[in-house]
Amino acid sequence: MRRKEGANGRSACLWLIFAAVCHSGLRAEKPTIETIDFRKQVAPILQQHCVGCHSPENNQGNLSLTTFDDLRRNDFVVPGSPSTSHLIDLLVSQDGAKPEMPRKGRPLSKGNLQVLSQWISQGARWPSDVIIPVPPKSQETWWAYQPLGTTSATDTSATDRDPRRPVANHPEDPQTAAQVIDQWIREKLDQHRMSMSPRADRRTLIRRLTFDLHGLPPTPEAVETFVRDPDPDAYRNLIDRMLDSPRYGERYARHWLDLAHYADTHGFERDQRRDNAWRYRDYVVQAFNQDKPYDRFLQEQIAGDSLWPNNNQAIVATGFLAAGPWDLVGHVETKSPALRRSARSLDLDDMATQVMTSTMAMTVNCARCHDHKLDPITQREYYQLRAVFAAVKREDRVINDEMLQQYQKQREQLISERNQVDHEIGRLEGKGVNLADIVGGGNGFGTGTYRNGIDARNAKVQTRDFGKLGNVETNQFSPSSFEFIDGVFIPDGQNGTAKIPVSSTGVTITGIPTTSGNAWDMIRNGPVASQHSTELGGIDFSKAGHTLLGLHANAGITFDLDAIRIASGHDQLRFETKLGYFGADDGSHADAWIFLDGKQTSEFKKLKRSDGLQPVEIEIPAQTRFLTLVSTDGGNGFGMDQIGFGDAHLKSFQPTVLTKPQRDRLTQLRSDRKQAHARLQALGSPPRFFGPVADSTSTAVRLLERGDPESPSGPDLAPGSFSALAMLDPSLGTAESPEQDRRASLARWITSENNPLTPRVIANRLWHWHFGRGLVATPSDFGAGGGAPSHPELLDWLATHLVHQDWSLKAMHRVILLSETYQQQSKHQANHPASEFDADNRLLWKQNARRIEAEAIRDSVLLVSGKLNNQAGGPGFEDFHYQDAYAPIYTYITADKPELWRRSIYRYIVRTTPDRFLTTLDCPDPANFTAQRQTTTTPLQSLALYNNEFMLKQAGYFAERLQQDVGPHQAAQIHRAFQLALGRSPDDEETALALDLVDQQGMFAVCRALFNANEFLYVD
Amino acid sequence: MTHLLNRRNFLADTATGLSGIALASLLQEQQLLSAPTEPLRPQIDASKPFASREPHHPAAAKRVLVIFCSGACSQLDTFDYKPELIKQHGKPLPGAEDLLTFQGKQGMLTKSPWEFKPRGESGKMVSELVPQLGELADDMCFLHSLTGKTNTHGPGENFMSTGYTLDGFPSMGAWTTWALGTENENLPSYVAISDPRGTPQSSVNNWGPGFLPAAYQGTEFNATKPLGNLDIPEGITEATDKSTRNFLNRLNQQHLSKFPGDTELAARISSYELAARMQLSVPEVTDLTTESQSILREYGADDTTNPMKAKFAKNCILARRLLEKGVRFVQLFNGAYQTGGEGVSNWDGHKSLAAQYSKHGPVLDQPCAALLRDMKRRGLLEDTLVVWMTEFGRMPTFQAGASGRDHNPDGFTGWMMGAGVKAPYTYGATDEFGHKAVENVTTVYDFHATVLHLLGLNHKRLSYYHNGFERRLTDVHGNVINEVVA
Repeated sequence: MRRKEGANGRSACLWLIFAAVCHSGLRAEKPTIETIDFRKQVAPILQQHCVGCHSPENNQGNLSLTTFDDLRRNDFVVPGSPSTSHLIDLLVSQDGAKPEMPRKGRPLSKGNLQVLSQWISQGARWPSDVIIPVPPKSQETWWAYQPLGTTSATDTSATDRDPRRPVANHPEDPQTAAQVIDQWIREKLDQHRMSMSPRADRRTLIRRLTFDLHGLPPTPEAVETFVRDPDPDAYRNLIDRMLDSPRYGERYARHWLDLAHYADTHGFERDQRRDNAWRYRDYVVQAFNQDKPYDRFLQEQIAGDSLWPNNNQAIVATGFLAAGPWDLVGHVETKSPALRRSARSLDLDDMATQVMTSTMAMTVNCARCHDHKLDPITQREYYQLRAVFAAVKREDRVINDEMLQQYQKQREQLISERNQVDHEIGRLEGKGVNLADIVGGGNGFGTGTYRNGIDARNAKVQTRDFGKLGNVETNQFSPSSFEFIDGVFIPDGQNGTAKIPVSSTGVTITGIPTTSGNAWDMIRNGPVASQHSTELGGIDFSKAGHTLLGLHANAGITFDLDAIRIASGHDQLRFETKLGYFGADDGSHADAWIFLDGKQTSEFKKLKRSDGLQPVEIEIPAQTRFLTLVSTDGGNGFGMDQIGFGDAHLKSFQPTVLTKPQRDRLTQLRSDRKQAHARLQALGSPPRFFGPVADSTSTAVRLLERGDPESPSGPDLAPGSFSALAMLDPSLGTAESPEQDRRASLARWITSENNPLTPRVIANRLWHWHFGRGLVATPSDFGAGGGAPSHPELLDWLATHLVHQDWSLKAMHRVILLSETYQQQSKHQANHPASEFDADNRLLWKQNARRIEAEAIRDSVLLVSGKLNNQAGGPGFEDFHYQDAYAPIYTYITADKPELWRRSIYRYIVRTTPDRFLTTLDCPDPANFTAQRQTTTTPLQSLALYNNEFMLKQAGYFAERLQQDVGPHQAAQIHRAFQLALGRSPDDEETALALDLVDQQGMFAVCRALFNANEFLYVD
Repeated sequence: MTHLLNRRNFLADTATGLSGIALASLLQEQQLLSAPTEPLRPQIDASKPFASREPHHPAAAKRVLVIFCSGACSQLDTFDYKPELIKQHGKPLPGAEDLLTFQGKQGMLTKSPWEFKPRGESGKMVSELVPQLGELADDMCFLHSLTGKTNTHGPGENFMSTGYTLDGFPSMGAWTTWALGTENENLPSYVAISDPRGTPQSSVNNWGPGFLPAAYQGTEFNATKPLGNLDIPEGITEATDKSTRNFLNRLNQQHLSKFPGDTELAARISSYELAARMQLSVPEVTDLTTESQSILREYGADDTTNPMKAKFAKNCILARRLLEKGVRFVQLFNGAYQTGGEGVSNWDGHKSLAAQYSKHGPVLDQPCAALLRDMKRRGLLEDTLVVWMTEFGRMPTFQAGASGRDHNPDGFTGWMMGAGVKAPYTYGATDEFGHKAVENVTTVYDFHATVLHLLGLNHKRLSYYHNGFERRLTDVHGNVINEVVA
């Protein structure tokens, strides 16, 4: 603002104000002068019209209107005298011209001018505590919040919008509809005297299309069929075929899961497994393949369980809300309530942010600590949105109880069938009674449950993992209800003096050293909680054919041999096992002991991992009643003291001689066993998924000052959304609304037919996925911090068309793919004028060429080598060794067997230990919401593609495949190799070069090179 | 604007939030309009993403060595001397009756099992747990008043390495190499040397790229675990490897001729040349056999009585060699989780601090002190900044019913050394027991802002647009601690 000189202007303006006052009918009726309320009347005017430019941050014209200081200076405002206040001069039109201020936007209304002038006459009181906040850059008038079809080509502030243009032309035929796209694109190119590039040839088109819709290269057969197809509708038919293929859903699910930051582990420092997460991933794949209407797709993911409680698919869909990371330590393990509140606050933020950025591209989380600085989203609204999810926790959840019951019944039945077979086989083979199985609640012949445990404090059966046990009483015997187990105890030998009771009949042991009296987890059929390893002495006791009785120090267990003799039919028993220290090799050690009727038969002192396995064979006298196994901590703390008894058996020491009928029976049983096992495998995993679970104890949501969970303020908030969208009611219920209603209301709000953002955002994402960049270049930010649309009318047309097509995404793919815009070639001449003028190709004078993503590279390599395994759905494949630990260890292996050659979408995704090969190739971190993949080019990528073992093995298979496909003829092999990898034949020079290389180094070298070729990794 | 993202340059305009049609003229205008608070994007040439770039202001340090003690190394048993804690040993911490820290209730105030002694000319008191590091106190700038935002290891490591407690944010090294590139493109620009015992709690997040281009992630290897994919694969002769590469190059050149002037395709071609150079220079830099016997001895790399120390010592020598060759950012980790949580393989001394630290102290002390002395002798400290950090501090009390200290983010120690840093110097202090920071209380954000400042970077202007935010290493916080700048 510039200070205006001269009195003429001022008197003119005074006259105008006077005139305005006189002409106001209101004024005439209300002769008494009202007192102006600065906060309510003046501040909003200044905020709306002035502070955007005149703030301490922006400081246009060296002036801030957030406080009174600058206004008082230089007589901008002279209290009591509007006529000498320059502020008024600048705001009033003179000689019909636009007033000098505000420079942007409309002049102030007469009413507003009147308020200001009156305020000045009344002394211009500005309470010193009032600082006018800077308004967000975007207002309710921001383009993205306007109804569909009202945004114009050039204007983004919407203050001087061009006359509205209809976007109502929605032909049913996709080919005709596609022409609408081309019209919008051409119109803008014309404005800049540019034109579209020629249509790409068919070979290029099918390759582009296949990567685009399937994330894979086309097969040579598909290429040739298409190239030669005489049908004028060949391209259109190709699109239809590709959209019908299940590969389409696998490709598009990857895009959507990027937005949901999906993974198969929890993330954070413990990064535990999330074995039921895959059901949501499968839901997304199927939803795309079934072309689920997009509004329904969103509704199911946000509130499917509430809206369609009897629809299993809709329930699993809510896995969306739980797809992100979850902090086990912060939520569960820490004892600090403040840490728990902090973890929970971040959890809610993640959930709310995911929903709003993916569906509506609103960066709501910017309002966690203060009102959004750029967009009209208040902090209060942000917390109202959180109130929608206030009672939602991420947990394993049963899809439906009936299904689970049925599943469990079936499973128990199958297990029981298998166990009967096992039992009989065991008896016939004289295999002996397995003690680990007994600990797991079994009969010693395989009926026990793996990893079930017995509490050494009280003999209770436990299924979940424990850590350090509290309330330990040492040297107290607890009888067990299991038939073959007499009882358990936690020993403290008190320097050899204590008589420790080890049986229900009063047998005791002595001679045990003093222990810490601490105990960890349960006595288990399998490894104990956080066991370092199940491997010792080259045997992994978690693998088939082996068992492990986990006995972490300090603990003891006594078996009832009489009961075992009766049940097994063996009288002459021999105890056999391989025991050892299964903790880490860091110098820790522990002791192990074996007693018969309280008499020590073996002791293993200071056992370390490096001591390996200790074989034990003890013949048990017929009158002996009790076998007792004990582990003690060795006096150096009980940490890591994971004593384990591998393959612990009580066998008959008289060899069994089988009769002919017994042998026949055994053969039959073994075949039964195989079938029983197969039936059990076929049953699959239980009907559980990782999703939202209502938590009745969760407290209401209040606004958190500065986002600090320790500073809640104000009342409990009702669930709500954003008033920025003026056409929608932001209320989503009351503070008392039940949890599921809240989510249902939000789902309806997001997919309301009047909500312009939801269809705009998905239309833009589709565009982004097909062109490598959206019409709005920031697909998850449609606010003032993001980009504005390059073609606003086209964006609105696409959004409207989607609604016209009943939210069918496949219909939208068709229209976009059929456009000439999409079919342009990506090549251009070096000196093309547009390459200087619009290097970024925002006007779309050509198609964008792109490097394929990390997963697409992996999948394409597998397809070309002939090894791709198209098995769809189900638990993810694990291309790593998993080792349970406090923070489990995931060690990647080279994927070199069919079950690891599935498409990357079916990978078991580990958050904190990502697959390094894929990460190097720009695969993003699933901690982040990824709206757009990035591409970098580094020497480490080249090394990975050139030397990584997976790549080399696949190059080998590629070479083998060529031999199989076309026989030994080298030129034919080379031809086939180019067809497979690049979708075209080699030219003469390439053939000659390749033949030369094959001569010297073999076909493998050619295949390795092709996997590294730019042409293989880029789609034109 | 970042031009890394190629000819197609999709993100170029998103990075500035530039609206409308991004035409050349608009871009120029954008730059003319830039005010001092606006982001300064590194000018990145797609064909040379790691080329050395100018800092925002003249830099004191050209490169950084971060020494990260994983598990939360106790300030009270190393560098923060508290005579009152010794006096009040065995008494309760006033006001801590109901204090619940990470694992629960507090026991009594407990003095360090290690004696503190005055060191160097400055007489700085450093404990006998790290005597050799103590001898270097005159070269160190201690910050005793650091405060963090979390009490948990994973988030704590994230916070120290990325400025956020959550996973998925760019690490300090990623920010640095994104901004500055590197001085030696034949080596990775950013190396994370993991501990011989395994990776830290927060694993790759400590050196991840977050949402920055993946090119700027740290490359992890150490003296015993070499960088992968580097050697010519087994079964492939050098001749085969070379002719395959030549054939590939011919294919790529021919392809490029159809896309004249395409910088991204050209960059991929040259990345193979760069990779070939890396195949020579990485083995060279990781080959410790050229180190003299006296160096091995000084670091403790030949110590057969303590194999873990010997392995860590080799990592220390590797760190020096990388820095000498111009690697921009090196993270040297001491301590790991995978081979044993809660203090077994790291500094998380909850239950038996004396026993555990007695193992960890010697692994850290001699090798690390030798590294610093060696760097000083070679003049590396002239233009290299050394930063020592850990997740957070520990309590002056022992935990109820245990012989170790619980987590404490309210006052802990970090130190700096080398380029641009005042030394000997001590900034800030904790209370009489070493529990909470009370004097010149400072934050991890300030710490980060200061590191960037010494690298010639303005932490408020080094930002990257991501999902609605101009993201910074320092979030919306942080002030350069001018007092520690020489």
